[in-house]
Amino acid sequence: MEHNRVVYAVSDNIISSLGFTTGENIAHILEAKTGIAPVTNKTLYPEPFLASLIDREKASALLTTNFSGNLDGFHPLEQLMLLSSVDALKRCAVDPASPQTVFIFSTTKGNIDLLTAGNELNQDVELWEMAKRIAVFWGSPTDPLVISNACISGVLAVVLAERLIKSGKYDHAVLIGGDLSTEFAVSGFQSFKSVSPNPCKPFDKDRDGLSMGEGIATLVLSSDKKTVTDSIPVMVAGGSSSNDANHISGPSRTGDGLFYAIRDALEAAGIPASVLDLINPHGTATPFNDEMESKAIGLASLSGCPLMALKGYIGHTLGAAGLIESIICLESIRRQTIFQTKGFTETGVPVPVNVTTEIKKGDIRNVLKTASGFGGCNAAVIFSSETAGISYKQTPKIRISKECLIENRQVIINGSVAFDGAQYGDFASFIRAAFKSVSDPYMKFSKMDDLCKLGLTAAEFLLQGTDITEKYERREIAMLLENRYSSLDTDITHQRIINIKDPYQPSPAVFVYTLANIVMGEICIRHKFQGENLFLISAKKDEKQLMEQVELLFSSSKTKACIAGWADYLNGKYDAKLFLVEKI
Amino acid sequence: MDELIQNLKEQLIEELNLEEVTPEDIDADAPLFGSEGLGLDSIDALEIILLLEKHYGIRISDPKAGKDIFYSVKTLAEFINSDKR
Repeated sequence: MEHNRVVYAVSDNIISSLGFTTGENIAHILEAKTGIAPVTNKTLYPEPFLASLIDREKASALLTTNFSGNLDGFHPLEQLMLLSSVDALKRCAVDPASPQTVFIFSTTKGNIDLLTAGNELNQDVELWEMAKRIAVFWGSPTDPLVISNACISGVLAVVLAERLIKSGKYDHAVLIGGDLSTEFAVSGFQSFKSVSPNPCKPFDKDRDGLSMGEGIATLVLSSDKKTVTDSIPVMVAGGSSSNDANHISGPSRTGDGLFYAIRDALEAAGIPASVLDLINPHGTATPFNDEMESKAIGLASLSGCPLMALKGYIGHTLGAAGLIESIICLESIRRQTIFQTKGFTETGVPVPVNVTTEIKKGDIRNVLKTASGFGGCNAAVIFSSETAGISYKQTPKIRISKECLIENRQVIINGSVAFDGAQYGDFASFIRAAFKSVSDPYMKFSKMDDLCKLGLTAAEFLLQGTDITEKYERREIAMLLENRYSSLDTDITHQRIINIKDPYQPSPAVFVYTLANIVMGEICIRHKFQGENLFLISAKKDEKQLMEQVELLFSSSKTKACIAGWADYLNGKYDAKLFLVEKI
Repeated sequence: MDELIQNLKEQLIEELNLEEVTPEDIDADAPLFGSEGLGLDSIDALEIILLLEKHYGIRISDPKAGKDIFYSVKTLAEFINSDKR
């Protein structure tokens, strides 16, 4: 095994309202042009709103040019993912069909537009199926990894790829992120009253919400320097993730979770905060998000560092946002240019931040990108032209100290039945009784969707009688969960609600559960875990593959204990198996 | 007023999925939010806005405007009564 592996950013593409290549997008950003515009499409939302939408006519023309019409069977998002990835891959020497290349997808909702009335069990809506179709198109011989972890998915994809390449598991990674503006997402964010009637104003005193956006991005990473053609090669130096353990939709009131992710990303990169030249925050422009970020930036002693927020150009592109904005950070280093924060005029956050107000040339070497999302999750990653970051130790010594299986109305701990619910007729009454048997009264439980009830109950049984909260710092306890159906069960509920047009009443209490990672958020809130978070979508329960991911997490982060496993729920069918894994 | 308060309690339990709570458990004067009383959160506040729309035809567009109104079941009932005037 070679040592000190380096992760280079090799090639990329951005598709957004501002263009179909990274270059087109940057050209518009340099002109301070925004792609956020009024939308009166009633199939997206009954009332006019603002959004940054991809020019579908132009997309269609480009698809014909690039694929000569051979994309029948691919859904709209998939076609755009192919368009994005063909642009990035044709300009670099990384072979997508190599067994040394891994495909990593980041998306919140994938082909959720297929989930219309009467079409609820269309298999194509599954995130895994979408990812597999794209990977197969590129001839990839390995299963893709699919991250669906709310709005931090894109940054998590970069962090995971960096760890996979540095650890030697793969040599190259093709990261593809995408989410479209759909009625599903627009109605949900509207129900949270988090959409601004104006183009968003990140960190501004008058900010009053986010702007919806859609976008696709591809980022190709490689350990092989020969694949890099840039005059200033940029590396992914290190990253980290965390949980606020505070609330499933409201950002932390202290910023501690995001601060931990920033601090540990810097540590993984092997650099102090003082050498950062630029921060690209999440910057959604909701009052609470930007306030929280200012606090985290203050805790990290970064108040003076230039802060460049980008959602004023292309809105919030959800699962693609972290990847699109990471690519813009790479461009900042390559072009030695800080971009202006569109929409910002005067600072209005409680802790000082140094928001960029103009385009500035400068010596830009180290850039921090962060993201935060529903479920209380945060992620941070460092891009650098001068440091490759620390290398990871091989094979950590870990052990499974306990396991919990929930199936067929039974809870089984380490092979023995711990709760038998044979007398309960349905999942709802079974899981309520199982939870009550192991936990004190907990008000939040009845508000949760079934996936969260399942996952939280499994975690309660798993943690009962253990001393992990005494043995480890809360920051050292991680969560790594996976399933096949993501949050599809609650997605169907939300879709049924918005199918009723009069009265039109999307429910925030339902919409918040249309992200699978919320189950990790609920467990973290209940037990105050603030460690790493990762939610993967997989074809099936595969414990060997899961443990490989867990080993990687232990070897490449501060994790000392991890709740890892499978939790899946769809239409009354359920299956959970969680492991408590500890460092020896 | 008493009938309205009773209805509101039942609607809150139903719409906010407060399975373990009965109308008798809710003190009409106790705060709905925060660590005392019912311990509701920001998502519940948005759901109460929907509840007012659904059951009473009242629209509140600015969630911040509701802070005093949303203090307790009683303040909610008073607001509904004054709005219907």
